[in-house]
Amino acid sequence: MLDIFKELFASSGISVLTFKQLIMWAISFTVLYLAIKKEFEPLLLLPIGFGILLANLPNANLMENNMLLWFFYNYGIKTEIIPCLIFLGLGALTDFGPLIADPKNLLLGAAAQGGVYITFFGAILAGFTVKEAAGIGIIGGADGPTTIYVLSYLAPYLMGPCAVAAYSYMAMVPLIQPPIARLLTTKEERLIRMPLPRPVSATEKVLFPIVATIVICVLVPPAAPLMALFMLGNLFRESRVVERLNDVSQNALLNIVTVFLGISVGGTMNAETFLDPKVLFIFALGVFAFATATATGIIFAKIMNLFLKQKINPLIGGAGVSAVPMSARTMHRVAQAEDKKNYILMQAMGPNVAGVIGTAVAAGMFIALLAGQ
Amino acid sequence: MPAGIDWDLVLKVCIYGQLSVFTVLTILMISVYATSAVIRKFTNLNSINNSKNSFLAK
Repeated sequence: MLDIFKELFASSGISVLTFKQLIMWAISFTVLYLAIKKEFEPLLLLPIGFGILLANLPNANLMENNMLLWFFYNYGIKTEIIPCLIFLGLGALTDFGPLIADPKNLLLGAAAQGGVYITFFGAILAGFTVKEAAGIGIIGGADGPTTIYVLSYLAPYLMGPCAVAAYSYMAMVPLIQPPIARLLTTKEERLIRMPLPRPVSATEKVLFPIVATIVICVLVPPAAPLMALFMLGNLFRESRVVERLNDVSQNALLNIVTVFLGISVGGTMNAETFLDPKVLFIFALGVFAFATATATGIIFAKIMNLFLKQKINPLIGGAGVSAVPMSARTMHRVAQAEDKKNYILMQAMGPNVAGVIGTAVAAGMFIALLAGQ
Repeated sequence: MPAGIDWDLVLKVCIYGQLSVFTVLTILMISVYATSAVIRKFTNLNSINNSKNSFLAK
């Protein structure tokens, strides 16, 4: 009888459970707690948290060759299919109207990418390699799928911590951005009222994804997979002739690929790669990336005001990161804290969606410059 | 400063990368302005033609 128990114990995972794996369980429970109890990006953090648990089950080996998570990761993420399909859904959910109404908002989306490059430089100084630094810097774009896309090319082993940092901080945008916005703007600037964006015709909305695809994909080919599907999703939405495709892109398909994305990213976080002092640096640099991206957007909006007759509220520059629509809402709330009748939400949505494009272009540039190194 | 870093590459990525993002989005901005202007021009022409036609029909 005792021999049977001994044999059972030896064949179970308990005998090989390590202390490091127990720490990873604790991290998994923390991520699950943030997702379920605090509702921090639960759609992503819940499957990521569960994926972390699965990757650290002793003897289960779900990330080993030809096992369940290995298939999800190798066929979904390594091949770039999942991040691109996420972008298809995001495109179907995005209204480019405020951006088309005032295209100079694209410059604010470009300026906010300054945070990406400042963090890239900071990560190099912190001792990361050039490729790792690019993956960490792109967290500043506040775009989870783009972060995963860049890391799948440049530093796949950092995908787990970078993705968790990106999604956690995206949920914390209402906490991270307001102090920076208040610090960099005067009360008078926060009180600036802006006219509502002009109405945009259906023809303009249909032509935008076509024009944007041609411009971006011709100029930055490595950004083509993300941008092409993002704009295709948007064309589904704006054409109004493929309602079924639009519906499936922004609902069923997006939900399905989100499950595979989350569980695969969580699956990359085993004890050996995650329990490294470098990971703490990644989290610190991640919040720094968000903060500097917000700051560069606001500062650029103030510079634009030097040349504009109709002044813009510099707070909308802070919405140039691509956490849509959280960032625009946050800046709107900062403006309303000064003047309850100041509505800048629609105006902030322009730089916000421009930030998605800007981050994808920055990602494409990283891949173009570093993938061959 | 960490050793073994190719600083030329780092500076190239920072400067070239940020400039490229600005360039691409500026070209996109000009394209969107141009597209909107063309559409409005055609819409205006159509509305003028429509009003002419409705006048002639009377």
